[in-house]
Amino acid sequence: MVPAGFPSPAEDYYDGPIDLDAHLIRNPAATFIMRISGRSMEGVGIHDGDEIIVDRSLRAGDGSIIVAVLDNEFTCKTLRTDPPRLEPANPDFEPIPIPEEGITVWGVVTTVIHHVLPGGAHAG
Amino acid sequence: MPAEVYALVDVDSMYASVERVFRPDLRSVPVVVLSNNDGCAVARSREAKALGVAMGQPWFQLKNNPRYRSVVALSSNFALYGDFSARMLAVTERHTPFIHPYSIDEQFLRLPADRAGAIAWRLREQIGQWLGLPVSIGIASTKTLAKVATKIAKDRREGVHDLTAASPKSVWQVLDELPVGEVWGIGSRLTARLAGHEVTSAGQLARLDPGWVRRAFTVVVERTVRELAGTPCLPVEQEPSPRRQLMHCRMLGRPVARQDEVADVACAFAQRVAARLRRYGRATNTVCVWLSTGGGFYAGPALSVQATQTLLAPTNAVVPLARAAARLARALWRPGHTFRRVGVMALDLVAEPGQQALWASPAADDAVAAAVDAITARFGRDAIGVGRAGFRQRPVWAMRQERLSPAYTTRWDQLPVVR
Repeated sequence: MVPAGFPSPAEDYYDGPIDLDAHLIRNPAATFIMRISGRSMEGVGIHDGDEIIVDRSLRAGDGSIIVAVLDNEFTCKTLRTDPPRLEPANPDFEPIPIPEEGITVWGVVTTVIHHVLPGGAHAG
Repeated sequence: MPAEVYALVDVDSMYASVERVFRPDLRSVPVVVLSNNDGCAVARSREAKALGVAMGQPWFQLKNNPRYRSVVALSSNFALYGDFSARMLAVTERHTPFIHPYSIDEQFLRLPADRAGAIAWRLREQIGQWLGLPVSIGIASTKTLAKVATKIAKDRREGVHDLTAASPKSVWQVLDELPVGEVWGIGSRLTARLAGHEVTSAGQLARLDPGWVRRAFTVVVERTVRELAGTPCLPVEQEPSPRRQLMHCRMLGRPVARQDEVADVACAFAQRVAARLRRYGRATNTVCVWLSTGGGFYAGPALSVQATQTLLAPTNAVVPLARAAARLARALWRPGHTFRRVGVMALDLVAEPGQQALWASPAADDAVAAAVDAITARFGRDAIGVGRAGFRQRPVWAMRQERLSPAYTTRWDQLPVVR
């Protein structure tokens, strides 16, 4: 079943400005942007106040940076499977063992948006 | 068996389920969502229904009753629900180009008969995992029967119920057990009239002679009879209207790529919505516009987006609704895309306001709106307003949304927080 649709010159020749959405978001329906609070993932470049892009359609595996639900709150950590744990990227924080009954993986982090200009791009 | 069947995808307790996506603490808590002004329950989670919270029950009754102590009440967050509704459309667009969004939480699909069950299960899994929303899907040979199938899927917590896979005998059994008032499009008045003819079940209705039904009732009821008996005959324009939103969403006969064309379509669709609002004596506070390139079945870059606007006051007048829809469509439009599906939805329906003449001049409307926007941007939301909204003191009738969840998916300053 392949509806042919209607040909549109726009589809064939369009060459517009760089589209950050298309660059950063593979599956828009399943993608959410969240805000980081805290310093537990600084070692992998995820800082307090950063925005993270989270794709819920990706399958998490060993080494994935994920958003998990822990004590009814969202937490961002690296998933490790042997032994199963949530690993922070900051020596000041302890790894969190994953209990037998498992945890809820809310989504997989694909990208960090880290503003280097104080206040972000809209500052000043 | 026909080559194609209908599937109805229906989000379980949509508003409450969307709120839970960003509030894991609400996962097994009874949740109700209140109408604007926080007046009464317009959506209830399964747990809230089990506690006995009734649809439309006033919040003051709930909050002072110890029986409902565990209930968490939230204000309606239509921008959030509209966003999830558009995401759901983007997911279903991967599976079929034949989609008819019926309300904010229901979509009819046409699917090939031999793969309908498999597609439905896949869709249910994707919407569950990607969006975090539980859906029930009913499959049948007609839309009216798909509604019945969805009800079964929900009541029995089956996820997907396929009436085309059931024997004719068991379909009749289902219909015989279904009160006629629960059939799509059979309201309380028709239920009473049918009772006068000793028709109390869907099965009895389906066995009536369609010709007699047309003479004794209307052609609309005749269509329902035929649909229940398995003959699809309900054109989109004749569908019973959903009670809580009005939507006009269509595949375009000719796709459009230019910004002014997209705005024109939204403007035209908004006028259809406005006309239906007036016919039902309703008005809306919130307009939502969807634009989609049609999904994976079409060539070219894909885009499926929505935006929501809250109006100054509820209205069913053509000009403000059409202008809002056109403005949203312009804002959503992106160059380089060919749009094939456009939707305009009126959310948050309220009873028609008694008088509307005060701000009827479109040109003045624009000037007033621009001035109000400029002043509130500088001096804050309560600095000025139209009519009595201009009182510095928040008027007693102002929209109360004390329990409003953040705009998690539409505002940078309200993103969900991760620790």
